[in-house]
Amino acid sequence: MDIAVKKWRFNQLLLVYILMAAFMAISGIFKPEVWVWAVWENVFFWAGILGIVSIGQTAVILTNGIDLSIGAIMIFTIMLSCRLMVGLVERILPVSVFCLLLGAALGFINGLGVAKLKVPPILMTLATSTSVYGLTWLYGGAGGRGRIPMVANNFIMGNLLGIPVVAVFWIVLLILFIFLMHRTTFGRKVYSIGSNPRAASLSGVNVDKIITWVYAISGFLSALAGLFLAFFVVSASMQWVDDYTLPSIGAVILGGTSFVGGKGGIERTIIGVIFWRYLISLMTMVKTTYPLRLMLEGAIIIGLMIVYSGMRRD
Amino acid sequence: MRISLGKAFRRGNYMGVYLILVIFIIFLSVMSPSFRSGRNWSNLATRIFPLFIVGLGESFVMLTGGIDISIGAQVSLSAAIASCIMGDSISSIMLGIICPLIGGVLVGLLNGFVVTRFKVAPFIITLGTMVLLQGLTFQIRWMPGGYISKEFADVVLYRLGILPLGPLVSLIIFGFLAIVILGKTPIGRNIYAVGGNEEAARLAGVNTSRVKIFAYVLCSLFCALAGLYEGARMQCADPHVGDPFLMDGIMVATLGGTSLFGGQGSPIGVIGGAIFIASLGNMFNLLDFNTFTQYIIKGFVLVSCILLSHLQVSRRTEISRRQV
Repeated sequence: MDIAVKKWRFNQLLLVYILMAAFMAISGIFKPEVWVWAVWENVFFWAGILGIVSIGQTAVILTNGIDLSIGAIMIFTIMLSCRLMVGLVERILPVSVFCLLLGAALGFINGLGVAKLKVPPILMTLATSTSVYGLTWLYGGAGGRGRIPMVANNFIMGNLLGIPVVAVFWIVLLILFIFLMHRTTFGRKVYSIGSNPRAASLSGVNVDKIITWVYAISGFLSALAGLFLAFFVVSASMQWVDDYTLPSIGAVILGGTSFVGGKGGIERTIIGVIFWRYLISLMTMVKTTYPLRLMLEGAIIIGLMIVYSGMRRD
Repeated sequence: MRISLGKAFRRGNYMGVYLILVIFIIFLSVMSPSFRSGRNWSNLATRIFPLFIVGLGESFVMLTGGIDISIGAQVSLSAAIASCIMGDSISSIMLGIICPLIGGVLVGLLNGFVVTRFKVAPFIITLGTMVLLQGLTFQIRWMPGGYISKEFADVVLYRLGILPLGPLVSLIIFGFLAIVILGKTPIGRNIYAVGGNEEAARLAGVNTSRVKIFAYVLCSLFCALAGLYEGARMQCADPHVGDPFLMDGIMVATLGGTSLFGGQGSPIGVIGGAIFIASLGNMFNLLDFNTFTQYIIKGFVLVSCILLSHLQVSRRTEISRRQV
C-alpha cells in the first residue's frame, strides 16, 4: 500500500514533467522559430532573475510559508538603487551592498512577524508588500529619478561562455543553496520544520530562528534579483509592475514542491522556472495580451494544485 | 420564531473593536472640525457598506477556517460585468444586477469546490482565482469606463436630505440577514462547528464540504454586491476598484473579532470593524495623506489587527478553560 502511494506520487510529478516536455515539443512544431539560440538566451536571462527569487520562495514554501513580498522588494530595490547610484560608477558597490542588506532586513521583518508574532505568512508578507509599495512610491515618485551607470548595464548584459551573466549567477546560487539545503544542518532543519514543526521543536530545533533566517534569505535574494533587474532597465520607472511574486509561486508549484511543507526542493524548482519563462516567451511571440496572460497564469496554478493534490493524501 | 441577538453578541470578540472605535471617533471629532461636520458623517456612512459586506463575506470564510484572497478581484470583476451590461431600461438594469451576482456565485463555487474536493490550501487556490479574475476583468474593461445606470445608483445611494438612507438600510438588512443565518439556521451553526473543529463536525454528521462551499459562495456573492455598489457610487467601472478591498476586507474581518483559525466571530463585530476602517480612510483623506502613505500605514494596521485578534483569542481560550 505504502509503495503504491509512493508510486502514484512519483507518477504525478512525472506526469507534469512529461506534460511540460510535450507542450514544449508541440509548441516547437507549431512555432519553429522558438528553437533559436537567441530565444533561449532570452529565456535563460529572465529565468536567471526569476530563478534567483524562486530559490528564496522555495525555501519559504518548504517551511509551510509563502512570501508575497518578493515583487515589492524587487521594485523597491530598483527604485532605490537608481536613486542612490545616480550614474556614478564608484557608487555601484556600496549601493548594491546597502540594497541587499535592506532586502534582507525586510525579509527579516517578515520572518519575525511569522515566527515570533505568529501572524499567518500570507498576511504578514501581504502587509510588508503593501507597506514597501507605499514606501517605493513615496520615495521614488511617479517618474524615474536617477540612473544606473552603464558599466553595470554592460556587465549584466554580458555573456559568460555564451550563457547570460544573470543565468550564471543563478547557477552559482543554485549550487550554493542545494548544498545548503541538503548537506548542512540548516537545510535539514528547514525540511524538518516543514514536515512537522512540533516534532522539530521538540527535537531541539530553534524553529523561530530558522524561519526568520529563511524569510531573510528570501528578502536578500529578492533584493539581488531587483538589483540585476535595475542594472538591466538602467532607470527606474514605475511601469515595472509586480511580475515576479506570482511566477515565483507558479515555478515552485510547477517544479513539484508541495504546499504541505517539507516535500520538494530547490532542485525541482529549476524545471518550473525554465518552463514558466519559456511559456512567457512563447506568449510574447504569439502576442498574447496581458489580461489573457494573467488568466492563463491563474488557470495554470489552479490546475496544477488540483493535479498535485493527490500528493498530500498520506 | 424568536430571533435571539444574544447568541450573536456572545459569539464574537467585538468589545475591543468598539472600544477602539469609540476612542478613535472621539479623538477625531475633537481634533478635526471637518470630521465633525454632518456632511462628512454622511460621506463616511456611504463608505461603510461596501467594507462591511466584503468583510462579512470574508468573515464567513474565515469562520470555517479558510481564507479567500480573491475578494478584491471579485469586487472589480463584478463592477466590470455590470458596467458592460447595464443600460437605461429596466430589463437591462435587472440583467446588469443579476449577471454579476451569478458570476459571484460561480466564482464562489469554483473556490469552494476546489478547496473541499481536492483538499488544497485555500490561500493558494484563491491566489490563483485572484489572478484569473484580474485577467478577466482587464479583458472586459482595460480602462476605467462603462456605464452604470443613474436610476440604479439613485436607488442604491438613496439620500433623505443629508441622511444616506440607501447604504444604511442595506447595512442593517445584510447585518440582520447574517445574524439570522449564523444564529438560527442549521448551516450557520455548522459553519461554527466546522471552524471550531472540522474533524469533530464531520464525525457528528455535518457535511463539511457543503458548509465550506456555502461560505465561499456567500463570500463571493457579497463581493459581487460590493462591486455593484462601488460601480453605482462612481457611475463607472474601474478595473482597479477592488484592489484595496483585499487588505480592507481582511482587516475588517479580523478587527471585528473573527479568528483567523475559524470558529469565532460575529457580524456585530464586523460592523464595528467596517466603521473603523471607513473612519481610518476618512481620516487619511481629511489629513490629506497621499495614497502611498496610506499603503504604508495600512500594512501596519493589518499586522496590528491580527495581533489584536491573537490576544483576544488567547484570552478567550483561557476564560473558557477556567469555566471548564
